[in-house]
Amino acid sequence: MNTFLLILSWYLYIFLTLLFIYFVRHFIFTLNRAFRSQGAMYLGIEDSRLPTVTIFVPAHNEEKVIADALNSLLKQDYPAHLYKIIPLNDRSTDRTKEIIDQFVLLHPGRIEAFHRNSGKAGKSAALKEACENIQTDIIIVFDADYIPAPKLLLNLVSPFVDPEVGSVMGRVVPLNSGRNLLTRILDLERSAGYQVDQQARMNMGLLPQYGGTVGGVRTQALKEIGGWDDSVLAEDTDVTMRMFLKGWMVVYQNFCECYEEVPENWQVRIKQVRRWARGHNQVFFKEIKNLLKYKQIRLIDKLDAILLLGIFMMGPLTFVGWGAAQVLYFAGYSKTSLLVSSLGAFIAFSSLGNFALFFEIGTAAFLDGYQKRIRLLPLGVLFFFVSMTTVARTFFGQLWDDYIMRKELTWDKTTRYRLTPMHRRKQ
Amino acid sequence: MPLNNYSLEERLVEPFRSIRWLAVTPLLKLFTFICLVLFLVFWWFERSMVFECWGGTLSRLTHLLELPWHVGIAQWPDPAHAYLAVPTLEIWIVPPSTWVWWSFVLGTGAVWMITGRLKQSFLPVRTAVRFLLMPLWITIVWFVVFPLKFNHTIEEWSRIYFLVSYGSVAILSIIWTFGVLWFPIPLFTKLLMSSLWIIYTLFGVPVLFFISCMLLNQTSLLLLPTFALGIVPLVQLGWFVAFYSIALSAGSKTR
Repeated sequence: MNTFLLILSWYLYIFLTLLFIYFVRHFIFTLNRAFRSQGAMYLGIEDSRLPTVTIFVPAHNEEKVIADALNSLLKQDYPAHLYKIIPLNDRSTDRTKEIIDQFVLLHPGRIEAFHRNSGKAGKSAALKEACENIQTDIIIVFDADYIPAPKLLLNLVSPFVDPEVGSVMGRVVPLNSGRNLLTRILDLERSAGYQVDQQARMNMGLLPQYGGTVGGVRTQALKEIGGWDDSVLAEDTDVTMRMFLKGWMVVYQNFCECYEEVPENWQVRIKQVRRWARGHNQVFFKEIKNLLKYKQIRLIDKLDAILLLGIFMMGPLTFVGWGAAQVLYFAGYSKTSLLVSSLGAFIAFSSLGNFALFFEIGTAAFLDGYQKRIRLLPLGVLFFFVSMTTVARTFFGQLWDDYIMRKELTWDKTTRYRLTPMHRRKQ
Repeated sequence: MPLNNYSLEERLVEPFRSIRWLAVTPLLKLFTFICLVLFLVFWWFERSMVFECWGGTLSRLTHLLELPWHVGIAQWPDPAHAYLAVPTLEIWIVPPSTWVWWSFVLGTGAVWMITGRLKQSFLPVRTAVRFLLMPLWITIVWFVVFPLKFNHTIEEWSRIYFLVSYGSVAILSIIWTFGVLWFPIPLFTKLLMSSLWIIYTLFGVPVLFFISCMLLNQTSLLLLPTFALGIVPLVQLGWFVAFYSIALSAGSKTR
């Protein structure tokens, strides 16, 4: 019993140290964004030799949104003969296929349909299959609910003029942020994630994350790392890590904004978080060894990359930490355990709450000029509970499904809320 | 423009307008940084002043409500090596009897089930309540396995509570300095929110503790871990974030 309690107490102290490291990391990111100028080293680059681009639009039952995405992509301020749009219809059962085929007929040579009816389901599998014969210099990916502005493609492609850049990521801005409380808070969360977290990492020369949409990869770099891995759910995190380990740069462009839909109800939100957490953890287990062995980088870069990979592990660790503290307290093993865990609860919220420190969210909203919306920040406490619980449950479920039951991964699609053109006409 | 057309805030800020330019200079940043360091040094070496204030508030509340409680001073971590002398509230709360214990088991189960009936739009509330019930479940399970062990008291908890509050206020003050004092926020808002935060720190913290003790007194010590791990740290932080967000909101300009 004593050995067990000793292990628990060590766990508690190590866990609190980890939490504190996350706390300091987010704090430094926020200070960087609050008081340092925004580094935009690839702003305003004009290259006479623009690269050829393939734009993928992965779609599974996207009849409500796919037309808007394709229309916006056709209007890009980029030479039409240099880019091709490929909607990846992954076994849709609604009118997605029909809509894509209509677009192909209306815009021959500019849109090329890629319909999948068999093979592994999911975005990464679809991308892997579609990329097999791609000859263009750059591959850009937009989810089907995105509405890119005309200049976006040009701005996203411009960093690739630097031969060291393997991947570029733009900023995601919610389109339906005013719908309800959830969308407003998610808007704040996205703001923190991009305006502070990603941009600070870019400013400090650390590793920004390629987010799988509103971004792209250099075809040569993708081939070098072995292409998309269809066995992972978070193909974006996976590509980021493998690019990093092969010495390619990942660039974040804060001014490359693109609109997306955020979940409007809790069920959808939880599914989304679950998918992110599961995919992220998968990459953690897959790449952590390689990352620890990798020597050609600064220690600080390695540490930040490990913290980036491990962020979704902190949820379950927090739960276990609180449980451990209580058991130690009851056992009379350590009178300070409750003190430590109370501080732990406090720091956990500060550093992991809603996936970003509240200071980070506040600063991001301040920089973005959100005014009254910043006052919703205290409600982050409630959202923190949901996020932590979801992340922790996902982790324990994942251990059970992947390592005990050996279940195959399934892709949970995010629900869309936009009205189809037909519904709009009816209204 | 006649003076009457100025808003209250503008009238209050006007006398200080000449020094507002300092708000963006490195000199003021250095000055606030030094102030912060001095504050933290003061916070550690003159901690007895804050503890006395907290003890005084607890004592006044106890007398006001004519409660048979006693406010004492405890030394932490042990009387022989007194690093911190924190106020404690000595209350006699009966350890849980079998009846109380069973009512908690049933009550916890009932609340858990009732929250399951909440609509989907109240999911954060459901999750929060269930989250806070988790320490209670652990407590219940612990006493099933070890029925004779009951080693936590209000006195001990009050030491923990005030130490956590003391530490967290120090951490939050750092965030406050960087997040509110340095940002281009109207001076009036900065002063108002900073004053509210200081008032809350000095008087709100013991009041919150007092309320939680009242609740524990009325219910059972079985709820103590729930308060210590869940409710209290998050309520503390919630207050801070509320002041902080109002201050940032006042300074934020539409993009």
